[in-house]
Amino acid sequence: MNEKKMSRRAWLRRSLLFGALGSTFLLLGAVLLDVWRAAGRFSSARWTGVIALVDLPADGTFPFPQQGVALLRKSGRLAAISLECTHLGCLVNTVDQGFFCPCHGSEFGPMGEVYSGPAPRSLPWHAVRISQGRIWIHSGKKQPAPLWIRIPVTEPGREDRT
Amino acid sequence: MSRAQRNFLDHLHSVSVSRHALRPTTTWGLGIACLSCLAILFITGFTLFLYYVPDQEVAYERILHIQTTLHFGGLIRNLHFLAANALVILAVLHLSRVFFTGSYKGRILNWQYGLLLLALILYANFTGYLLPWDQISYWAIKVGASLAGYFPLIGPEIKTFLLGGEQIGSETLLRSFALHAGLIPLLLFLTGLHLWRVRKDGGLAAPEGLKEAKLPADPWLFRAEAAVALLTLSVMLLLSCYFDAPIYERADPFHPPNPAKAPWYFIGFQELVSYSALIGGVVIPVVCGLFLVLCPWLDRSKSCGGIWFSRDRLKWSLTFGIMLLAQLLLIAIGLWCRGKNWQWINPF
Amino acid sequence: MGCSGPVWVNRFFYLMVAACLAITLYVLAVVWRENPDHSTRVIADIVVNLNGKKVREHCTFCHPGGALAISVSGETTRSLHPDIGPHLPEKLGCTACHLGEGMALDRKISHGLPGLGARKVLRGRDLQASCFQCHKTAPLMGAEKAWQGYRLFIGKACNTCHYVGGAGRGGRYGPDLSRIGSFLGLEQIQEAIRDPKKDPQNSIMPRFPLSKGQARKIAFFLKSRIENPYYATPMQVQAGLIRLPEVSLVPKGRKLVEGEALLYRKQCLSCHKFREQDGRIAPDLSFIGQIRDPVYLHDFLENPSKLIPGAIMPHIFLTDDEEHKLVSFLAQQAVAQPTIGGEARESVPEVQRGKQLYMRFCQSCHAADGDGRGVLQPNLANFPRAFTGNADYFKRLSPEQMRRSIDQGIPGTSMPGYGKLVDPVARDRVIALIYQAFIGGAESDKAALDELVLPDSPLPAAARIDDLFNARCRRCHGIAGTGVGPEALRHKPMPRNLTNKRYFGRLSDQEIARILFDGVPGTAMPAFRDQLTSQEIWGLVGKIRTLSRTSIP
Repeated sequence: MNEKKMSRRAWLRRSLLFGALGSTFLLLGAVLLDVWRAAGRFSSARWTGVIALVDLPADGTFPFPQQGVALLRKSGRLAAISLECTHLGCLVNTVDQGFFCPCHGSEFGPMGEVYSGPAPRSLPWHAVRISQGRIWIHSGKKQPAPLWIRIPVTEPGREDRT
Repeated sequence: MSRAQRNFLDHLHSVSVSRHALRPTTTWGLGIACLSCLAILFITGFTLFLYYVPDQEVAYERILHIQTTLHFGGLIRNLHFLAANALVILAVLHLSRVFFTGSYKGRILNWQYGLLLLALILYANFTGYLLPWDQISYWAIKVGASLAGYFPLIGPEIKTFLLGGEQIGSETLLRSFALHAGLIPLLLFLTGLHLWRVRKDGGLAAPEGLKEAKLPADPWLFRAEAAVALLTLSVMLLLSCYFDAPIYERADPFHPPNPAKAPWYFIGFQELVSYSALIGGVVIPVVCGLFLVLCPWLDRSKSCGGIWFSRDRLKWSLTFGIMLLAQLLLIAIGLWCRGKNWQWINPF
Repeated sequence: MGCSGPVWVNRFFYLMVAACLAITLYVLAVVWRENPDHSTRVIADIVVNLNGKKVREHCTFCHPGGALAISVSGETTRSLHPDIGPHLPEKLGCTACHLGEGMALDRKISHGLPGLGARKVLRGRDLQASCFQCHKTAPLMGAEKAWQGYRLFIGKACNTCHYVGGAGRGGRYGPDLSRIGSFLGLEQIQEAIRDPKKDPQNSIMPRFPLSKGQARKIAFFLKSRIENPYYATPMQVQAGLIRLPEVSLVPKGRKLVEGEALLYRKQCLSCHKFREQDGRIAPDLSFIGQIRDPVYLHDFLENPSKLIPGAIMPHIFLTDDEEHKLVSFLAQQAVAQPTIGGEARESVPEVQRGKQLYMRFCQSCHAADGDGRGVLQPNLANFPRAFTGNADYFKRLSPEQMRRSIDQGIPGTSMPGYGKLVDPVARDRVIALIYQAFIGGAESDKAALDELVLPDSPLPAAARIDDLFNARCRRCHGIAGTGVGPEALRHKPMPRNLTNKRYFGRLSDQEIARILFDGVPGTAMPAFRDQLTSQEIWGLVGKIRTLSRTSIP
């Protein structure tokens, strides 16, 4: 039997052997990998209360850095824009002409469109809703286009709550 | 196979191995099984590290998180638990094999390394026991540490060391975790030393007059070892499917379970201490420990190692056998026959 | 390639390679089947902060928006979480009210493991057990039963023995319940109230006459007593700024004199009986002013277990003025009652009159069927003498002894003297009834008893007597003779407390020796006549005299 050239049988046996061993450890490795990367599967996305409707001043842009959003109120409609810079995720400041990122100088317009700087995309928008007299944003769902909702003229019986 | 690989494997064992060493009845593959368990423990343990927090407030919740929230997390924890307990059993069996075949002859140093390893394994097990911070582990550690406190002079010191203070608390948890994890390098080092000494002492102990043909270590020894390792892994995997690592309620410092029992491998001593604190807690453990440490020097029988229950070592084998059986019996009694207030109960 | 080696190695190796692969596949399949959607679905993760402590939960993974998943014939529908008004579930999280283990994500563990049940999930009406964790203990909509539970807690005088943070002074006889909700589940608390002697068996807590619903209500209140309460900062708790509200126990709409109001206000009637008000735990106080003298009452209120060793009544905080008013009220009330003997109308037959008296005074302890297991018996320090089936005991008892016990009572026990209350004729009627209905046989049927005299020969040395005591008496009477040896709980009647000075002070040496020689019929006390010598028994009589600090022969 030649050392260099294996017989077909031996080759078959060998590849079967390594195949079986390899797939066993691949499977077990995959299990480990699954557990290792499980940390990324958690989501705290949920409806988060921002402010009571009665406390929100008339038309304008109001930043809520704690929730990472700014509420835009315009002629009886409401939307929530994300304050997370699309470049590297810094929290942008609200300025007169729109938003300004302090980290790398990205400038955004009043509707989050990129004016200048390294930011690749416009600021995204959050889903927003009004319930029990409070404004809620959903921390998970982000959309490229604004999700406007209409502010009800009166929330029956709920105005007094703050 | 690359030259480097081949080179590495060639140095793990000597080039050839006697047929006697390969025979299953020589070692029953216990050492390799221990090594496999250790490997499983390292890998699963590392995975558990990623999610565990050694803090009184959240440790228990993190275990629940691992056990139930992470996909396969339960499997990993079960494997870790089973391998840890299997390691204690296998290590004791390995020790018994070495003793009954008298293989410590001429390998006194390695015997001592082995004993040290056993102690480390028990300690790692003991510290790991507390980490879930549930009712059973909390009180088991409390009882276990109190058992250590019975030892004269150094007893209270050991207890304080184990508990990180006078009372079991957040310090205990932190130090149990640190020592559980911190022992890994030492365990690795000693295991390496233990294996290297086997090679250095000329492989497995064998009866002298044996004139059997030798076999190349590659592939025979490697295949046999790999088979045992795979067997261990398979058994652990299969068991982890059916035996969940225990989890009880949150630790409650005001309501001890009745009876509060030490971890199972120390229950024998708890049983002994329940008869007499001095005899059971001090004299017997010390005598047993000294016996194990000193037996390679005390045993002056002529026969060489590698023969099961050789005739001129009968009294030694008997002594050790009785010791082992007595300890097993005590563990069984403590585990199954003791109910409330350590009263005798019928296990059936 | 190595054909010369043992064949089994190769076979074993190949087999193991195959087996390991197969088992790995099998295990993965099993684990996958057990929780199929974990790996694909995003795991809900909520962090709320109550009281400065962050709590992380995965509850909304299975209960999105707090919905309860209801499985109807295989199809899962989701009900919505009811509107809980001003509470914001997003801020409160789930486990603050519902308990359970928020970090777990399986049915069993996340809903609280069995055992002490501290984290057992609360649902439905049980949820009101959580309200007073945050809210001030006060009438609260939705927590009506928990509030009633608090009223019951005070009304049944639980706080005289148990301390609960904010309930004022006292209550140091039983375990502190300030944090009980963090350690025990609702069911466990309810069970402990309903059957206190189940665990531990030597618990002195009486079994209160509470319905299951009432016990549940108290459990609702107690479940809200938690370790780090949300209703106050730790500093406020420490400084005693948190007070539980006062509950008025005096019945409304009745004009009461000060003394009688005290009976209510000091929670006496939570256990004791006074006229029609009956706590069913402790003896009747209606005539107590007549059958116990004011000095006794004063001393008893000062320290109940001094006069009746082993009495479970705790010390009650009373100012001197309150105590005076209470004692004089009780004495006054008793005098206002007519002597009972003359009370019975002539038309009532002789036997009926005895029966009336028995039911009025004796039955609560000695039981209606005379076996000594009356309603109050479990709460008494000493077992009331059994009449039924105890003829042997009464054959040894002289008529004088029996009459003395009824007229003067038995010191050191709960048996009061009825001499002032019941005239001799009426008393004899009761004795006749006891013999006729319970003991059986005539009163004159007495056993012949030998004379017990102190032997002339010297008694054994004290050390020998101590050894004897340890060998023969310790297991039941305890090493200190207090009647609670290791085996005491196995016996009913429980072994006598040998340190009871007042009880043994009344017994003559001969009477004590009689107990040792011939045992006590109807109890576990054996006769030592055949087992010990006369000297040894008389030595033990001396030992009892020493233990009880009464005169030494």
